[in-house]
Amino acid sequence: MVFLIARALAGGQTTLAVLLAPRTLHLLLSTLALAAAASALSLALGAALAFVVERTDLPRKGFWRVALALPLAIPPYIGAIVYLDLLSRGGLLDRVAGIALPPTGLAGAACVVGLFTYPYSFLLTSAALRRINRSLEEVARTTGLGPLRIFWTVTLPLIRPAIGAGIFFPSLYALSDFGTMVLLRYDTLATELFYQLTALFDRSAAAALGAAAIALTLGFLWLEARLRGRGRHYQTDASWRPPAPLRLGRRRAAALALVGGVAGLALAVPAGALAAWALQGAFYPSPAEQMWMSSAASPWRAAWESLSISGVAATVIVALALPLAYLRTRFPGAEAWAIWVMGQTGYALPGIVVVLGVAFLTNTVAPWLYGTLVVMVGAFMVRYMSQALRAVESGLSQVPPRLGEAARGLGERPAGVFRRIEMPLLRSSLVAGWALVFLNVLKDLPVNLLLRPAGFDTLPVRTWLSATDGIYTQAALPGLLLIVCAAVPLVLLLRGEAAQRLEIT
Amino acid sequence: MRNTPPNPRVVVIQDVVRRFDDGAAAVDGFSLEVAQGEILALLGPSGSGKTTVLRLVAGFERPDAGAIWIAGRQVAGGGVWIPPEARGVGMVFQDYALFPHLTVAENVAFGLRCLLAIDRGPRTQEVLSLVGMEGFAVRYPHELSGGQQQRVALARAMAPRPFAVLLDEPFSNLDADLRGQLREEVRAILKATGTSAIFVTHDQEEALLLGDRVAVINHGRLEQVGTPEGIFHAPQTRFVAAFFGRADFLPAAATSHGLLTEAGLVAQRMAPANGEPIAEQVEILVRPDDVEIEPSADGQGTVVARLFVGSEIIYRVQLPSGRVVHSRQPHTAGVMQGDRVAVRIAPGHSLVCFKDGRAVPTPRPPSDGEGSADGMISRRTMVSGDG
Repeated sequence: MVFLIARALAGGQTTLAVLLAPRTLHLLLSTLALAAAASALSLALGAALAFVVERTDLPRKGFWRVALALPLAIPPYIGAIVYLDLLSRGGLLDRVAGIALPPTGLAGAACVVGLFTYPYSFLLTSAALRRINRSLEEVARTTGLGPLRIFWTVTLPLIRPAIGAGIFFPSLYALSDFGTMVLLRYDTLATELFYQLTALFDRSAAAALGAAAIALTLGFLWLEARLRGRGRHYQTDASWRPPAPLRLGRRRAAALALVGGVAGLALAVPAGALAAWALQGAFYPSPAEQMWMSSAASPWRAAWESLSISGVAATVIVALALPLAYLRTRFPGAEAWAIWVMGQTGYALPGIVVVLGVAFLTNTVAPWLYGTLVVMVGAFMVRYMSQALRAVESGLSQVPPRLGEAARGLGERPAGVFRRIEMPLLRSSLVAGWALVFLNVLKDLPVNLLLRPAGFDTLPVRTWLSATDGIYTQAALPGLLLIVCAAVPLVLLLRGEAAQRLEIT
Repeated sequence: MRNTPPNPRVVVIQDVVRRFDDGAAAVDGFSLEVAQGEILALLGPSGSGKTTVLRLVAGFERPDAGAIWIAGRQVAGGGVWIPPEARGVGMVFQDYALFPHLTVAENVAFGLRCLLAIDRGPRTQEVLSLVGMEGFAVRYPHELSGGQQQRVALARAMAPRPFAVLLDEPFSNLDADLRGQLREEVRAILKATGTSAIFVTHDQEEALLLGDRVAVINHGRLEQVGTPEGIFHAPQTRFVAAFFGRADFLPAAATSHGLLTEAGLVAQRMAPANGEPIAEQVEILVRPDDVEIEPSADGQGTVVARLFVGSEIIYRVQLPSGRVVHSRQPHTAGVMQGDRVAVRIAPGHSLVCFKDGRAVPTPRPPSDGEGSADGMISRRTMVSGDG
């Protein structure tokens, strides 16, 4: 990040020219507009679904909890591919009903981003709602407030941190996700950066735009911190009881339609469409597809490559996160904190900016590393270290230092304490952190696409390249494989108690 | 039993200083000795440094100055540092710190690594039955109640036969009934096995009940150490006196006739210095059972509160100066709030006098020969209930 800003400053005149160009202002505004629209949709969907699932007598809650969170396995660019093909002129809807609703422009982009990022606010709000002790709302009742007033004055402030985060994630996507926006032909800072990097090779301009993106990210971070507030008002003591569920009664059909509709649009439709196209592509390939197939490696190999890079990256990152988290929780000091902050911003920064920074850095420091897996893993580390750190730290915070002291009092050396006490207790957190990083590396487009060694075409790359070439049926199989591969660690995360501790998936 | 002369010293703490990060002393020149088989209660208000002393002995903190010996071996100070795992002390934490991923038996056996595998089971069973938990060996900690966790924590600490067991506020997480019951049990177990123990508490009643000796700590310094009776009857500082039970202090002038207070004359003379009684201002320690009240329209006191505690009534009486004393009366007493009363101090034993916060040495018992021994016995009965 520092490197990028320095590079932008070194650009001098060019930087200034790029930043002041009317085009930049236009991009900035379009990015903000998308962030606002997508966050609003995502938050509305997520919060409403969370309320329906957690606070009403909706049947089959366990199923809906998983089904409504599963769209996390679908990266928005794959969602964009599906809906582009279904809704565009000549798409399924056009052929069946004669209507074409191409999801392009601000509205389309906001809908796609909102539809595939709502699980963040859904999960966060659900977790927050589950944590609220019934007694808090009951106390409010006894002071004579009505249910609606209680929602505004008690429940809402208590879930405010979740709402803050729920706005944060769609905003990050709006800012960073060039894949979706390129497909949906909506210009943002990220798409411009992507064009600069891949087509125009204007690195000074890219650096300047990158700096603008960083500034915007910091703005979002600040906003999220504001909304999160100072409170960590979590009720987890023994007297906790869940609030009484709201009886749906005749509203049950409407509630079911809501959860079913969202799950259908965000999960069933994309998965079904991809499966159908994959079959179609396999059995009735068009001439263009035959050409494509012959020139590209098999999607199964791409799946293998995706799984291995994700596995390697997740393992390396968690292995490094463990000592860092240990350092930070047990010996809090300035250095550890600095490392942590850097890890945090790496996560919030748009992936393409990270790619840019890593590319600049390797080209200056160690050019011979460029285009190797090492650089890829390094970039993944910058992006996802914070998630691994958070997972391990939340695990460590469940292991009070007193346990280690008790063990030492019983004659165990520090190494033995780690092996016999801390490792067993940390295991579930390590697995959760690993699964989280694995999932994100698997879905990641910018690093996979822009930093890959020649011929290392992972699933996101295959999906993306086919889609940008306009051969959606060929994007289907790798896309489907990607979703299936991502769903496995995701279900693992959702099932585990770790999901509640992590707060974020 | 309680006053057996000290045997070999198990723990010796000498002039230990432990500073916070900001340089302030948490423990400031603290010295203490614990004899073999002795239970020592370390009593102090919160923030007094008592837990730090325990952690220094256990080896979880390093002293900035001073030295510590355990079982005759120096473990800290003078360049020596023995890590906690090599000190041979068992610790029972306030929150018990049972390992959540291990069963009760595995928790207890955790420290038995030096034993042969074949001996671990029997020893585990032995200590578990000692604490009455033999039926819970395969349970996990979260399946136990607070009192059961407490027993397991004690068993785990005792299993490796440590030189001493350290208990940090061991009963503070339990509710009142259970606390009383466990206190007696824990004392019985420690005594039956001859285990030396230091336990930290902020509850004076607990310290008096459980400790063979009580050490009172305040601001990281040792205020006083002695038997429960000794400390209760002869507190050396105003702080110690105030810490044990309800205590009021009244200014008094020491005259040749006795101690003159606003509640009348107390027939007690100060120890003569140079053969002559000295007239000086002191403060006398007055406990509720030292104060008599009688309804009287022209009495000097006013009842400002009547606290009915079932077996007795405590009256809070305001004196003309605005000072307040408490008086303990039978539960049948009929004086009501707002009544005027005549206040008389009739201790039946010599009162402790303080000057500048420290006890004035050896006040002579009153010459009219009211047996102070009786007073002591009855007081002991009142406080501990096991007299």
